[in-house]
Amino acid sequence: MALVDPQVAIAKFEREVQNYLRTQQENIQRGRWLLKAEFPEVLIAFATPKTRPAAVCFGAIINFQDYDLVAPSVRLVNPFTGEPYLHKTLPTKLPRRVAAPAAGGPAPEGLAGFQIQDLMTAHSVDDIPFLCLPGVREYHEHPGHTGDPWLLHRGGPEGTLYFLVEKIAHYGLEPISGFEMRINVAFQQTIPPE
Amino acid sequence: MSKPTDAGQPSKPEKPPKPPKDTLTIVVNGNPTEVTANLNAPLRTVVNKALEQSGNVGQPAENWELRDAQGTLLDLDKKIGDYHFPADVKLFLSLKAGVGG
Repeated sequence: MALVDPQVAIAKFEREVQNYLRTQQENIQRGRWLLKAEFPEVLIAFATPKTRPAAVCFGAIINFQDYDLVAPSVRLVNPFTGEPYLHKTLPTKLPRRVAAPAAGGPAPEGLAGFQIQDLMTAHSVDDIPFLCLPGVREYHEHPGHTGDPWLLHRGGPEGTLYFLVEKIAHYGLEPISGFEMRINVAFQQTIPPE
Repeated sequence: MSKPTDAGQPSKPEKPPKPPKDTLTIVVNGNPTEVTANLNAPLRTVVNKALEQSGNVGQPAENWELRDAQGTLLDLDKKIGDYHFPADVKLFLSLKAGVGG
């Protein structure tokens, strides 16, 4: 059952989409392609223009059901099928560098004094992960964040379509600098002997 | 005291030259806004103006970050003129992500 009058939610959804399209040319150049916008969902493909060849890395479905009484829901998805990734199949976990001493062992090069925090989290690798960030429905509904309700953020930049796409691209696309080749060498084997 | 001119009239005191101005387009959370910038001033001056013009006054300026189209974080203490922005430049002002994860 809808918590918000669908006409109100649709009007707010369309406002978000129109606002996003105000910078459509820049969005395309920066690899944030709006593929589909049908209430309540927006499908965005994230592509990296920095690599040669350029690559479509992943997609996201942002769901504005009951917006903006509740924050939008975010899922990273296969951009070709719209299927949400499981935690174990995520092409990126949206890593974020946070200022905190790394726990145990030497820090990786360039990360002294910092640690990496994944913004895409799940309770199991077989679960569909969620974006754990203020402005996202799953963050505000998580028992660990009851002290930071959505209504403290509502009406501000967080939770807008532009903000969410910006942050997903910031943590998901901008760290990509190129391709990495990995070669696994193993013995080719015939049928094992009896 | 002003020097008299050849015609015997005192000359007007020289005014300091006006600072060079330029207009920058700042995209504040998706909303483009035109900001007049003093090229000799630090970049943070346009951040404050852009936030005010776009009505984004609920969060302090320190909670925002300014990037170019390539995603490079810009140093707000650097003079605007030192960046040599092209005339049609667009800069992107975004609220920093809150604590999550």
